[in-house]
Amino acid sequence: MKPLRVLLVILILCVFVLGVSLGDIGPVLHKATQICLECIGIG
Amino acid sequence: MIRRLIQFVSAFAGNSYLLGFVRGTIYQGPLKSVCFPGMNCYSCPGAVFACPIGSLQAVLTQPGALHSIAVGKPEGIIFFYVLGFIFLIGSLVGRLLCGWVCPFGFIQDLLHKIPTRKVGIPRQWRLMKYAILVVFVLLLPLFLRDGFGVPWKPSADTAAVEHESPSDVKATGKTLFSEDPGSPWFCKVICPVGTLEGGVTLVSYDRISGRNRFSLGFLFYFKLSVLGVFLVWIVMAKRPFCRTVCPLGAIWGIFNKVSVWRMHVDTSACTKCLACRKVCPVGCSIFEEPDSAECVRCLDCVPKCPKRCISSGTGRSAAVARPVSKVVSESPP
Repeated sequence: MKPLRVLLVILILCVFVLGVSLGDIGPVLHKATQICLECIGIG
Repeated sequence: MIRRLIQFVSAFAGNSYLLGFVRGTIYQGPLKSVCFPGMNCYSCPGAVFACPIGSLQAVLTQPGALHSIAVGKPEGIIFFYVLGFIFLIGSLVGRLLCGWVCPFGFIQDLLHKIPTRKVGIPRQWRLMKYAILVVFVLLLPLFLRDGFGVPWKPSADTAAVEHESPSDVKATGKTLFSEDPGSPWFCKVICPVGTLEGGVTLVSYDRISGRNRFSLGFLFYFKLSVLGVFLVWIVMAKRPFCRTVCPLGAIWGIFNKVSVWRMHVDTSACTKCLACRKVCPVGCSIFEEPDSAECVRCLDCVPKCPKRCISSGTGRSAAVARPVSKVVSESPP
């Protein structure tokens, strides 16, 4: 496996971990579920 | 057969909230904070995970989204979670999950088995999915609000909650978001997955049970027409949604060229017999471009190759397929 590919995976993993640890995941995706019904035309 | 089994199990696992089908409701528990590695609408009554493309748009539709991301607000940093999730899978296996996990890919594979006249898809149409990704998933949700043309700026609503910590927000029961977000335009005008998994199932339940909770507008019937067109197209062509529309596939396809898991073809042994192309669910000629952004890495072509030229793996050793001479010598007399 090329070192650059490993570096790419590690970098992306860091971005992911940053999002998981500091992002407010629950409210955003909860809101997304609510918006979704409107998006498919159900009111 | 193994792939079909894995596709079925993952489709079931992603939609295992059976109570939702019984009650005609949507699961909104803690698992909805986890993205599903495939196109699976979170408005499906059985969906227990979030759609990554829907989640990405949900972040970008919030007023002041760019500002929130740039200054590192919690509702902005979730952007890195969703993007990191998509990129992480892409960098490891490319489009592999399109072929093995995605429920809508599974539906397309099954529907295409219906015996009818089959048609191809023009090569240029593949580029459409990149345009859809940029315009409908990124730009329109980011810049186009429901009032049409209202550009991005930190809104008054956003400013009002700016000084509140997430714990304050939870304590007061307020959300971190404005009540006037933009629209996830891909979900709204294109995506047939939500119409099929969420719209049709919920409305059918509603009408059959006689509850009549939902009022259906123009948008629903428009989306229903889009779904109808796709269903006919899916029966006639191989995975048209994956090849021409899917923004998730577009992102993962870009990673096909750099991912850890790769496809390899021993071009010196390949006779271009097209046996691989015949079984490919996306009509790919893998001998021309093993790292093609279209390849969903279903591996259906690997056992079908008469010369055993096709292989897959992570390391350099996997890149070298078995030479033809060795294959011939091992075959029974």
